[in-house]
Amino acid sequence: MQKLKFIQKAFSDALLENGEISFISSDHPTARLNVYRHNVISNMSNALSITFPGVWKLLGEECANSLAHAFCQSKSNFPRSGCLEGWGRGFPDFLSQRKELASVPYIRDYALYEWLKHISYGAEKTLYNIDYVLNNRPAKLPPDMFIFTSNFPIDKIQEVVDNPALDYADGAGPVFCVICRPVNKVVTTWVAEELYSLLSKAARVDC
Amino acid sequence: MAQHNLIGIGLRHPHYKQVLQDQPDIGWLEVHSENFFHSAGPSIDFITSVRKKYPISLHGIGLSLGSADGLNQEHLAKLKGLVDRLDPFLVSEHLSWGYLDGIYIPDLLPVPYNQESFDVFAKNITTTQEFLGREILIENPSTYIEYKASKQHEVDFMTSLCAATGAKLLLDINNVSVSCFNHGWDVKEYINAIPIGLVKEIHLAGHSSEEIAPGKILRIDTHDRNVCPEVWDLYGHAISRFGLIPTLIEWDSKIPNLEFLLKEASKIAEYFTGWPHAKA
Repeated sequence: MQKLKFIQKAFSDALLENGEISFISSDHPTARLNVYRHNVISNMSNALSITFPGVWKLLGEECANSLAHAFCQSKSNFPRSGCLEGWGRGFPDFLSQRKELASVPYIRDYALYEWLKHISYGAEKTLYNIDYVLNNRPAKLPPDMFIFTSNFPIDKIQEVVDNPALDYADGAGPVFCVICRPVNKVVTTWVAEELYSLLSKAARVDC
Repeated sequence: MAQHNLIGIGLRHPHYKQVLQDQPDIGWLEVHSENFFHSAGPSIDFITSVRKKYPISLHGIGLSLGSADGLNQEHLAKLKGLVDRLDPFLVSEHLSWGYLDGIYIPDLLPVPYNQESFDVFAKNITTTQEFLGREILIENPSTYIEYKASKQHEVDFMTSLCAATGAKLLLDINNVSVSCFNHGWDVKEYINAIPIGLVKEIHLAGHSSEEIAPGKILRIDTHDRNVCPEVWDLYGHAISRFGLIPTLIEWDSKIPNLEFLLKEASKIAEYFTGWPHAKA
């Protein structure tokens, strides 16, 4: 192994797994390394809060930040590239495993719904008429179009996120929707199960 | 380039709409390259519209030029796509690493300053410049540790690297202040060791201080407040040496309103007094 590779591996281990820090010559090495540790976790948490703004509203900033920090403790959840825009797909499933979120069983599905809106926002642009697509059951969906279903009333939950003055009322599930970005804004169209089933044959499997 | 046009700000998300609507009187704007890596969509439409109104500088934070593993080709290809789309007047990256074994660690991590790191940087910078078909700028980092494996001073490492690759320097005056304080280096010796003509862009920003042990203070590059008087003074020293150079205020956390940020940037003009024209 190259010496530089060895040093970078040691730095990574020290940062993420409390590995040894004998490669540092400065005084107070642990405290100094903590600055990087804090930066890394903050940068990742901030990226998640941008991708999942509704989750942050539903759970409250303190709780959501705490969960984001927990998510970022595991190296397996780290990004695979230097572009954080495309990172965070694992966060919804992580939330579903947290015992402290048992009182919000819909949070995984809501987070997944936000993820699909996020990737629709940055997807390749193609010109199409949304009504035409919905009515003609294409063999393949446009790159910005995703279908989603949940047994929870995600439509009602979204209304609460958009208007916090509303009380969460148990709505009816399941719900079905199409998420797309026909112009410059991501839109959600809530659809009947039949249309969802037809579109699912053309769709990427996301949920 | 007229003096006034040398003053820029880092354009961040809270100001996107207002900048397009109000088109404030500022010479240029800098954005983080990775925020516009989508192939299409509203963010691309936005930055394309901004580019029609202002010169743009692309500042990367994720290319990881110092990684022993080499460059992420997908990242590099996305950067080239953005460079080709926007034709920025400057493209910059950092003297740092963050990519290892397929994992990206999202921070600007320090490298040991020695021959092996030099060779890795030189190879990665050369690859980047050849792939982009243009010169890039390398920014000096804020650092909090020094390595036992370092054999060179940061400023000598960096300037030698520029000489070897043809890259130029993005001199972050705040980072000079932070790193020199944290490691006991002399700020003016640092600036004076940089050859005239090498610096093509200057960054200014605010930093905080933290007591990491009784009586032991560390400066942290937080970009969350005004530029401090010491950094302004050092900026004055830098331009007296290098001449007038495109200069930017970076503000990335606790971001103030646009008017406040523009007012902070307008202080740069006070240091231009007495200069008949820009050298950049």
